[in-house]
Amino acid sequence: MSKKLLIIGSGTAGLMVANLVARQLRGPVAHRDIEVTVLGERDEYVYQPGFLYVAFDLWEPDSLRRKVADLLSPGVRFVHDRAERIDAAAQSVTTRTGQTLQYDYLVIATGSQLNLTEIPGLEEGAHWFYTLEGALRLREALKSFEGGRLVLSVGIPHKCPVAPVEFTMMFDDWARARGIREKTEITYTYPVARPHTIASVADFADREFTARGIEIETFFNMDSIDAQGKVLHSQEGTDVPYDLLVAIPPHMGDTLGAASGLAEKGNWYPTDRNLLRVGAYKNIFAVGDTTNIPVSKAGSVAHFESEVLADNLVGLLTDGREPGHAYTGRAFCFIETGLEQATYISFDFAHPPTVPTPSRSIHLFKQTYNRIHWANLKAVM
Amino acid sequence: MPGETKEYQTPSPELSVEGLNVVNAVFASLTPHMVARFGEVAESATTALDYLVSPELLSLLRRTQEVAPLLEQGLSVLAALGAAIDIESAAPRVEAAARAARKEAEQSSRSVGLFALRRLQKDPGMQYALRFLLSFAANLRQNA
Repeated sequence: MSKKLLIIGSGTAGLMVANLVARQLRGPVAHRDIEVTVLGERDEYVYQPGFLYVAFDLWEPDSLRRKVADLLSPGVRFVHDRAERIDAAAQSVTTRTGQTLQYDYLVIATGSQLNLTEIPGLEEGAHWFYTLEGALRLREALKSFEGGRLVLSVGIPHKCPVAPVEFTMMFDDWARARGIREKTEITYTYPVARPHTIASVADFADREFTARGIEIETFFNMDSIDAQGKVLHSQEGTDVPYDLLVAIPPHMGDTLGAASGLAEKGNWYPTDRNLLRVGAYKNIFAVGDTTNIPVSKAGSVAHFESEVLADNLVGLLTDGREPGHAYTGRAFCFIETGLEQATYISFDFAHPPTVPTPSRSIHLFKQTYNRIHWANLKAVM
Repeated sequence: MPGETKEYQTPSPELSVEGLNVVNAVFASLTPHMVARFGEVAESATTALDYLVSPELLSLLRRTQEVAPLLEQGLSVLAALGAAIDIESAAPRVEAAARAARKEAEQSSRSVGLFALRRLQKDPGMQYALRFLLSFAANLRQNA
């Protein structure tokens, strides 16, 4: 009787877990003693950190896309369908087309998505770069932007927490390069008392923004947007007029969790922060953005978590060994501080990050990583 | 020379800091699995280097040098082999063999290469070429 590992989600975390397990268990997977299946709604993988570059017309969208089937290790089965419900008692998942997939171990890697309905007027009045379509629309808006007031407003929770800071500084560089910075005002709004939730990033952004003449408005929670009048209203009662609004829409988890009675508020799965187990279930795990672990929703987190989870799954699948590897909250994020410089932060549960001085070398390192990400996904590098 | 002075240029502190910065970033971004995979690559490269500098390879190179005139003669014989094999008709057969090998490998833990070799040695054209090469190698050995 073969053991069945089912992974829901064909994003970074889902593909990495599948490939890491298949790579370590090459023989049993080839002989079908262990079946590794990825169930994904999308058959195309999109490299999300690239959206930022698409918005500034630095990258073409085709360079961000690959077929999921081309990214899976030999022996991993891909089912292109949407998971509709998880039945934890029956150890099965039903899909939109009516298939029922059994599992011995389940990994939920359904990521996060934009909640565009929470803020009235958002879809009509704002741009965003958190989807490929949004980044392409913003690219067109930037092409015709000849000066005025750009407002970058952040909603929470959201993935890639440093991306709003990156966009703001890249926009500043971009406006200078186009010769329109003199006639452009930049305003950055953030929901809490400082410009970022991470203290060192907040200090860094405060210094950088002030030096670049970027206005910061804290305690600003987006309430609604008047798309006709081009005014952004906050829950705190302040109004900010704009010519171009770039919003970071609040995010939420996939509705699968709520439909299955497994997720909590925001559709996030209650997840053990070390072993990545969901609730009290011994054979259900969550990884990547979809967890409620208090750590950044970022690709690097998905990567670090995936390795820990894959090692634990190898033990469980081969001889039922109890998970012995623990995720420690590791995260690593590059921060583009303009069009040609970057810095980074590295941290875990116990060690908050510091922000090194930005440099061109780190920017080049980031650009290099953007190219080799595919090898990481396939678990070959 | 006595009395001569030399100027040594040391890297600027800014450059050293930036270098350290990049090294730190690289270490911070690496995962345990990535380190293990880099280790495998480094080990393969070291092993390959070991072979390259081994006395066995040096001896093989000397031997090849000695038999070079024979090899030169052999090349004209090999040209006859090239003419005897119909490349156009062999290519689709080799492709089919490779496809079948990939399919078999998917069902097994063995590598595609093993199945490909097994399939190719069944091909009549390949058998002819192998026989030719084996007898050619035997001739070379005798005459060397």
